[in-house]
Amino acid sequence: MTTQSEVLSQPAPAQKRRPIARWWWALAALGLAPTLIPTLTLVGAVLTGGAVASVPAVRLAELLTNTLLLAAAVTGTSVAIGLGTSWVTTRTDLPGARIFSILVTLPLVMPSYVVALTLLGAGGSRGVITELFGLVSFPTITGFWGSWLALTVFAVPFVHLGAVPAISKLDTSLDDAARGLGSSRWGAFRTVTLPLLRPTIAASSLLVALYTISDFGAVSLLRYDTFTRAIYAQFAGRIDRRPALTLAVILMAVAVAVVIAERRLRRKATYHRNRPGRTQMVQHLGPMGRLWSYTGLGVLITVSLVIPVTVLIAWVSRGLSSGQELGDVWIDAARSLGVSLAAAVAAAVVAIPIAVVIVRDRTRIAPVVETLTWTSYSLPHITVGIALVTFALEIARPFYQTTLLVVVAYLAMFLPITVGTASDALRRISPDTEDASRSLGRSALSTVFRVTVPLMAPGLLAGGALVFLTAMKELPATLLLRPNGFETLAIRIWATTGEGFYTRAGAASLVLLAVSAIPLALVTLRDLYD
Amino acid sequence: MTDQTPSGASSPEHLAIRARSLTKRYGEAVALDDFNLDVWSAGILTLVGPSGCGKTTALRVIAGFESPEHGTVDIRGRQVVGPDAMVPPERRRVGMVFQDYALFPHMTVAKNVAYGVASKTDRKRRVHDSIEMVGLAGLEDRLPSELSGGQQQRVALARALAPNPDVILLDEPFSNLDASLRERVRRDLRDIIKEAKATAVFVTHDQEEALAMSDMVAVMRNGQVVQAATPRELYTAPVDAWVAGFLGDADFIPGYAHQGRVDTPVGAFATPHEGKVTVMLRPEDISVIPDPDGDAVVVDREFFGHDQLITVTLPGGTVLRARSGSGTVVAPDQRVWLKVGHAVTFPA
Repeated sequence: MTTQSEVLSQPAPAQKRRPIARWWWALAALGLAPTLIPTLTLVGAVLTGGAVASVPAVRLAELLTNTLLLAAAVTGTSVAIGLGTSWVTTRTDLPGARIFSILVTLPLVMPSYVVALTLLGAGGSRGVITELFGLVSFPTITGFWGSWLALTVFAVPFVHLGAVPAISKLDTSLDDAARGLGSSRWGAFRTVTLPLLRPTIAASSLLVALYTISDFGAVSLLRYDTFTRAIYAQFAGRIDRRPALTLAVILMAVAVAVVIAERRLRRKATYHRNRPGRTQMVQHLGPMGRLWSYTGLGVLITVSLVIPVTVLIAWVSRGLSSGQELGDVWIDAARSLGVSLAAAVAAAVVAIPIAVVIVRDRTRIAPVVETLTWTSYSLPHITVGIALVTFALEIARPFYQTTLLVVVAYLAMFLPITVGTASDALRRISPDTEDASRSLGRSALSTVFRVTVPLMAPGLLAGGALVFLTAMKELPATLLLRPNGFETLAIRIWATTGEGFYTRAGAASLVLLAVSAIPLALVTLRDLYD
Repeated sequence: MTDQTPSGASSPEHLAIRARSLTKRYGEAVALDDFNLDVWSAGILTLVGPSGCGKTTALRVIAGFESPEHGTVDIRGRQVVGPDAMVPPERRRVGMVFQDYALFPHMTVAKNVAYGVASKTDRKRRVHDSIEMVGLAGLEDRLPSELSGGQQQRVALARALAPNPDVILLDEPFSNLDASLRERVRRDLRDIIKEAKATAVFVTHDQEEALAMSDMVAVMRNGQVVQAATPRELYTAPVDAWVAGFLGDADFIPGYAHQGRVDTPVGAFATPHEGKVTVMLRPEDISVIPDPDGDAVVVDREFFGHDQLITVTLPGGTVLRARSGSGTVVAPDQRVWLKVGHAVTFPA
């Protein structure tokens, strides 16, 4: 009888998707609503003529050129640097590679406007560098070059983090095979390694380009005329919102094009072989190789980490010693904490039904829901801000200039973060576990609170922490939506930097960095213990 | 199906589960198609069939996780699925042991077992008794991740038994266990269920497992129960050639029946059928007698130690397999006689 049981012994594939209750759908739709509002508002504004204003073609061409030029420059430099750092820290025997990898990633906690602040505070006659070296007056770098530098510092960690997995999964035996077939070291890199990395490079490039065209903080402080800066200029203090809306719609179109290209590439970005047989040779670095690597990493870390932190501390201590007021930095911090925490909790709670629908439902609409959660995430935040202002003024007047609207904006923009971590957590829970609870006498609702949510908790916590971190740093949407006088840390830094009060801006920045480090540490600790 | 009633129980009140004309589709695929089943109290019934025959769906419909398009299910005389009734799983008094056990990973063994016990007054005792019964006393405070696969399964069983359900359903409970463990775990599980005087329905694709542990076996194919009977009856009197082949090794030879007899190269057999028939022979019902004058020739021999499988050809070219004890010594090309103890005929 062995033949029968052998043939049939593969267990039947478990049915992972089940019919789910209607109220899950209702809750998911409710949670998805804020995300859809900005895009719908902008599309509505175009259709009803609210976003049709004549912007002079010359002005438009200038903004477009400026924006794309900056995007190209930042993308080129940060991708080149990020690929270099990820290669050196994962594929060579450089001593201390791991520590350098962390140091390269650390500037991630610095928002672009803080980088801009440190640039402004470093140069000039009162600048920290001038003061330290005394003799020459180090110039203040602003405009195109300032924005380029600030955003490159901001973008390198993203490229580095994106490239490390791809590079560490590269199969070096392919490189060896090319060498064995007669290629030179450079030839093998050019014909084998580089093409294998091309999808990663392309995806990183588009991501950096998207960050750059969306950035408001750095370009506004460093006075480089891009779309986001023009939108804010058109918006601030004007009664006619149509020019700002028109520019926002154009910027949205550019961003959407970049996002679509990025998603297409990412789908193809699975060249790397990941199987037990792959070999991972580590490149040996000679003394010269080490010297060059340490020099490069040293310069990068000096510019992206040491100088900014030094400048912030120098301005704050200088201000403190001369008896300057630091302002209401603790009150600002409390406001930032409040709205960010509210957004984190809201995003975590809302993610529960959405994740249930995405992971568990077996209808064809579930994948659509997953895509919809991304609707606002990739939009430039200033566009989301403009859209929600318009929405509030025209449809939901009582919410105009309320903190609730700020939280809604955060929820709209950062929802995919918690949905992602919640879905990952839910995928690890067998639906049988919930069925078991049902057949043990618990209702569907009781099962949610006693089984589903407790088991999803780590994912919800991690996602919530990330939302908190991102919301703390958010500037443009907060700037447009906040109630009058509602100064968060981000706004205080931006406003005081613009007015030249670098001590107050520095103090707020240090508080922001310290608070941001807490959830980051929590997430890192969780990953370590996972 | 009244002929499957064991030991004199005959009234519907003795039925733990009564399923009638259940139909369930997933899009185009038909999972259940006029599914009928009777499960008698205090016994073990096994649903067996090839993958995709609908056995897991049947279990899930009985448990209340899926609702059928058509048909009724009664549990202990109470309708839980029907035109006017769709009782949710939590009110069916059905315990379930899942293929992957589905223990709550964030709860200890004791908390897992206590989860379904509603009554606060004797929860402690019930949890204690259930854990004792499955032999896991002392492991109450462990988390599921700290237990072996076999121990996890016992927790799943204790958890299902603790609320004292009317019936417990077990979906492929042995498929995640090491082959070497299975036989022992199977016996233990059977003993526990018998001791608890519980009614159990197993689902498996392993016919040997089904025959070994059940009081009744229901064979499923294409969403239907094709035969439900005691293991012995099922094995010795399958309703058709497919069931015969599914339950164990069988060879089939064609024949022509006339006046209650069918003649074959291995002898004549009595048959209730007339005309063309198929005669089913199980290897263990065929004895091999070495004899230089024999009409059969040995073509192959596989020696397993406890027994051996001898393949022979008959003059007409018919190939048959015979299972005999290791004492019979034969070699390929040797001439033998075959003696057939039992044969079943089906209309061809």
